[in-house]
Amino acid sequence: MNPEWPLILFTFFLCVSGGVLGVQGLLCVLGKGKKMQLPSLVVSLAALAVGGIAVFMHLQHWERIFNGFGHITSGITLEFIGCIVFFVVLVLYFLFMRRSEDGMAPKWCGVLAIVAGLGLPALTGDSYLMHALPSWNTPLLIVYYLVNAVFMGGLASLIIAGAVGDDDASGLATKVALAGGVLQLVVVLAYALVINGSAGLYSAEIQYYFDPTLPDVAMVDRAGIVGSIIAGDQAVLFWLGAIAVGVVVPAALAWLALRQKAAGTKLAGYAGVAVACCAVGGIVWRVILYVVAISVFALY
Amino acid sequence: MANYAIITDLNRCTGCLACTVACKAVNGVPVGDFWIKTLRVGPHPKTDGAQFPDVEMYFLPVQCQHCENPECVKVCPTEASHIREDGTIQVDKSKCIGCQFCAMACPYGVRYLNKEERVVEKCTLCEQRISQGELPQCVSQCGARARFFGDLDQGVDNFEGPAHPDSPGCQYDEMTQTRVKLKDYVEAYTENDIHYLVDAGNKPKLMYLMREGRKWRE
Repeated sequence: MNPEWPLILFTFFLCVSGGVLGVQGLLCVLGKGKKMQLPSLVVSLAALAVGGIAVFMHLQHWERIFNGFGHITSGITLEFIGCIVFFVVLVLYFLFMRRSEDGMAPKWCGVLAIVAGLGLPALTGDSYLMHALPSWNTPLLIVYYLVNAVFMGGLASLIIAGAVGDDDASGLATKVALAGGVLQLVVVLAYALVINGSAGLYSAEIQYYFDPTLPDVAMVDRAGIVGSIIAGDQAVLFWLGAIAVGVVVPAALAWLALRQKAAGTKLAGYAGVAVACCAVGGIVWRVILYVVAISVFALY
Repeated sequence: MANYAIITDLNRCTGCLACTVACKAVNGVPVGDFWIKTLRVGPHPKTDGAQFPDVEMYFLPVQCQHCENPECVKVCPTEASHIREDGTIQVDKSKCIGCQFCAMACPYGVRYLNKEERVVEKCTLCEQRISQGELPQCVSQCGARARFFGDLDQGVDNFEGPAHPDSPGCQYDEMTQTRVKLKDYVEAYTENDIHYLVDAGNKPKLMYLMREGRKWRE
């Protein structure tokens, strides 16, 4: 399948948004990150808005968007509702933060933020599970969105902590980012191996066929497409983009920041480069997921 | 009410593409889109390691399978894709937001985005014709009389295809209303000879007849 850029950007920014809010929620529960609350909410809201605008670009009839509530159990409708609930949690957090005497949101707001921060990426992943597309139809897709949210959220929170000088939050945010990095490495590698070994799921008995409506198009090389990640056409993109640049470099930068006890602008600098790398890796992996998304009846 | 479907006798289908062309003509399917396309499957060796001329192939008309448990309906956020009372899957264009999730979720790649109307379209089983008691155009125009249309609740044996009128030069109405039943017209078959496209949990309803001696591949 050709990459659908609006959807790629939508899922990416949703993970950023969920991750930042989730980390802020965790900090709140642990009584940390007081200074970075408002910037975190703003970043999370901005990412949600950018993701929302991106997904509108995908819709052919966006003016009929409210029809989207027409089928309550469909993945898109649940995503839509998830975004609204997420926004409500953001607003609640903001209001209770402003109302509190010490300027810190109550812990229950933190818990809500964690649930919303992890729930939205999970809901998004769930909406892409389709029996017709074995490469997507696995819980690993949901888990990937979750760990990507943790990784991106940890790193983005590090930038915020560095920028606002919230030193008591940076240690925890670094640990979250490192944990997210390790988890993302494991999940992406496992996911790539699962897809790589899935060739038997695609109309395997049909070796030769011809589509007279596409006379100059070669047969779909089903095994070649799903086997392209580890050592095929997508290998360079995968190993260099999704793994080296997308996980190893940002995780190493987070580790360096922790080791050097970086703070302030230095910490923000480390985290900024790490976020940029992680963004590249996240988008590259999403593009690869589209390339390997072929139907069980992939003959044209 | 009814549970409409089509069966194609692959032992009879000659791959003439009349169904593909007739569908495009009667439904105004845009250039580049196909509500039904006819694939050639094979040639494959008849037995392992066999060489030419011991090979076989068949033609496979692929269209919306009007599934029992349609994934396209499940993922549609607006209920634009829905199951009609007659068991067919239809798209209400006025509700469609063009998210194309149905096209992604369909295992058979038979849904297309109409770029002019910006909504997803697919085979309607010629709803405009069957609601008037006519046959879908792909059945009506089948060059090999391999396609038969009917109500699954009445049994596949009673599916109907067009037949020669008794009198040459008869009127159009008589010609289009002259029908023959599957069981009475095609070579004998058993339940084991009826096949379905690969099922990803969606339970496709359209059937393909391929008798013993030929290998159905999926």
